[in-house]
Amino acid sequence: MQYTAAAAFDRRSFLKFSFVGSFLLATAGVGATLAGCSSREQATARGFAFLRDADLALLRALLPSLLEGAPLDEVRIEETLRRIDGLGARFQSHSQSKLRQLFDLLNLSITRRLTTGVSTPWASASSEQIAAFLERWCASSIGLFNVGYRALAQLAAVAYFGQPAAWSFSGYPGPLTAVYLAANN
Amino acid sequence: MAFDDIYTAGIASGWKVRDASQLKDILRLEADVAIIGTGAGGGTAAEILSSAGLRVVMLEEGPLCTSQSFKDMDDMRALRELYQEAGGRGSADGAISILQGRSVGGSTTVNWTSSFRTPPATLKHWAEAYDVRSASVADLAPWFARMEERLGIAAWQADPNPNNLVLKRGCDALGWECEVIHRNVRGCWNSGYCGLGCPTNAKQSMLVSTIPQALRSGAELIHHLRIQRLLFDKERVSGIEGVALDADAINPTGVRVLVTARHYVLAGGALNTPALLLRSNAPDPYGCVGLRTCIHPVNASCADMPDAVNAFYGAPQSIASDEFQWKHDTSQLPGFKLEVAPLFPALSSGIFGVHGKALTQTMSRFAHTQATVALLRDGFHPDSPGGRVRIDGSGMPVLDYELSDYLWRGVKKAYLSMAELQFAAGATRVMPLHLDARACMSWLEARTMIEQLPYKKFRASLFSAHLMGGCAMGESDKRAVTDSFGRHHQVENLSIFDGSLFPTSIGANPQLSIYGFTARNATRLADFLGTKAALADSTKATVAGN
Repeated sequence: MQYTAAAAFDRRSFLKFSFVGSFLLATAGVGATLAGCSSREQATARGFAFLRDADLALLRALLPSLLEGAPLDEVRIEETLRRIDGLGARFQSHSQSKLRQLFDLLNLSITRRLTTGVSTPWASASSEQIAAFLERWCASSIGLFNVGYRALAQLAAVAYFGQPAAWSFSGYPGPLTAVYLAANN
Repeated sequence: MAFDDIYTAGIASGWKVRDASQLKDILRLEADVAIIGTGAGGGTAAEILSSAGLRVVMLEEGPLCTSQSFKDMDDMRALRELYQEAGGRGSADGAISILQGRSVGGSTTVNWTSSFRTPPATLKHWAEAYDVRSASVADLAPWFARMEERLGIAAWQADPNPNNLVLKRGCDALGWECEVIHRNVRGCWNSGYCGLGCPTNAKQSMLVSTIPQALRSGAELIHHLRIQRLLFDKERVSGIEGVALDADAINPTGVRVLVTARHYVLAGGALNTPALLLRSNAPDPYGCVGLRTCIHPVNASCADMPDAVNAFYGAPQSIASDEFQWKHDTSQLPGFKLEVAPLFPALSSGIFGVHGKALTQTMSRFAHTQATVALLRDGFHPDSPGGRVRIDGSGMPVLDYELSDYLWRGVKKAYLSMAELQFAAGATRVMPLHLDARACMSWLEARTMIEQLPYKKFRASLFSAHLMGGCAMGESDKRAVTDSFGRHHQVENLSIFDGSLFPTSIGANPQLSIYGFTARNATRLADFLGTKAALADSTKATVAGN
């Protein structure tokens, strides 16, 4: 699959940068290096155990595209974010830092632009831009982006479809009634 | 509560169970045998050793979760509380998703009850290629029989659920062999919620069987306790150092726990046990620890069926097919076992590898979705040496696993077989789980597409729920970490009783293999320690009498 025309950069330099980019992220956390503090020390958002404010802004912008076609209102979005937070809080530190690196890569303007083609902050990105970025990462020959794509798609799916309010969408009636009643009475 | 949680009454009656998250000060414990991990190996060993009169302490990192919490039958709660990293564990590069349990009972608390004796061909291979002694079909038969009796393991009698019926119908239509699966259940309600923690206590996991019995015999259980390292004094283990975890069993509280014992048993499973040995700098003169970690790599195919499948209800696995496991020449590609996987909205919606409209359209057909899985039999061929466990900066296990062309040929053959089977069983649409796959409307279309898919990491969706190896058993200390009975080659007071002993993958779901080998190994250890104790006592008595 071709990169969209919006990405007016040379493929070879992009690959070179993404190697450098992931090296930087792997060693220090790019945002952290530039901001002067460890990304690990960046506080989690108020009321959250794992996600930081920037992560929440990113996910709020992506969820409508990730879950396009499913009923999504503010309440569902907030619950989805809470559940993603709950999952991330339970990852081992190796997995947590990889996920935070993914979020940092997507939030730092330089790496966001070069790896996703989106040059505006996520909150002002159009749904077309977001759709194009997700398609690009899914189709990419760079394993790092496939993994990033799968992580985003998976977190959104697990956090959304596990909600009882979403069960009817998937045709899941809920816990098997006879056993549920026996177990809870 | 409707289904007694066993532990409340047990603890009230005097069982020694401690929640390390509640500790305020350092705790020192002493026992005859310390067992790290309460899964298939740890539970089996604890029961046998404590019934032999030895003082046993069981150490578990995860929480104690019982029918009291399983009764909500909610898959998100199960993911958060019962699975390693909330189901988010994976291989180092993220190419393979790993499902393992983490709670009292280990993976047996969340597995799907499938019980198979170690296949004869596997035992023969281990004896011939890895010098594993006294583990022939005849040697192990009494141990398998004992554990089958102990855990109610028998052929499933009820009808297969629709998810499993697709596998059966497809095999019958194509003339492929298939069999009824044996399950470790007693009084099963056929609910299908095994993977969320059995709400009725029918599943004979370690949680409801061997561990309560060990506690009745006087064993002690500490949970919410992460073992940091084994301490060594020359070539003997001199103690275990652990840290208490908080109530969520994620972060250390700062309180330490120190355990000393005459003998130490590692039973944390095939990722955790090698990692513990590595971060403890345990003797490993030939560099064997962590090698040959096999995983039964899984690829999957989802079918949209005309009638409702409701793959969330009914015994999750009751039919299996070895059509492609042993019959063909494996010099070109590995064998694999075909089974089905249950589907739940949180646990399974992430497996499809799609987003947006593709995801929501797939999920709108969730109740009509059938999921077939293929478990590749890795480790039997030079081009399939397994992966390697190493440790990261904080000493936690990291799995590196590469797939050779040999294994990829198996992945392709598995996609082809699964699609053929699903169409033969009446599927309307079939979608192999692969980023470049699309739903196909006929076997011909699927076959063409599958032949053209790129066979590469990150493109194919790969999973593993069976971790084996990393501390292989065998008579040669140059190639094995333990002898044929799980006794560490270099460290006299250390044994390993879990799936990390297996020199290759098994070719069948592992739990009964672990039960059988552990029953044999733990009985032998109990005799050895009992004899030592008797000798020590009589020596003391002789000395005292003079």
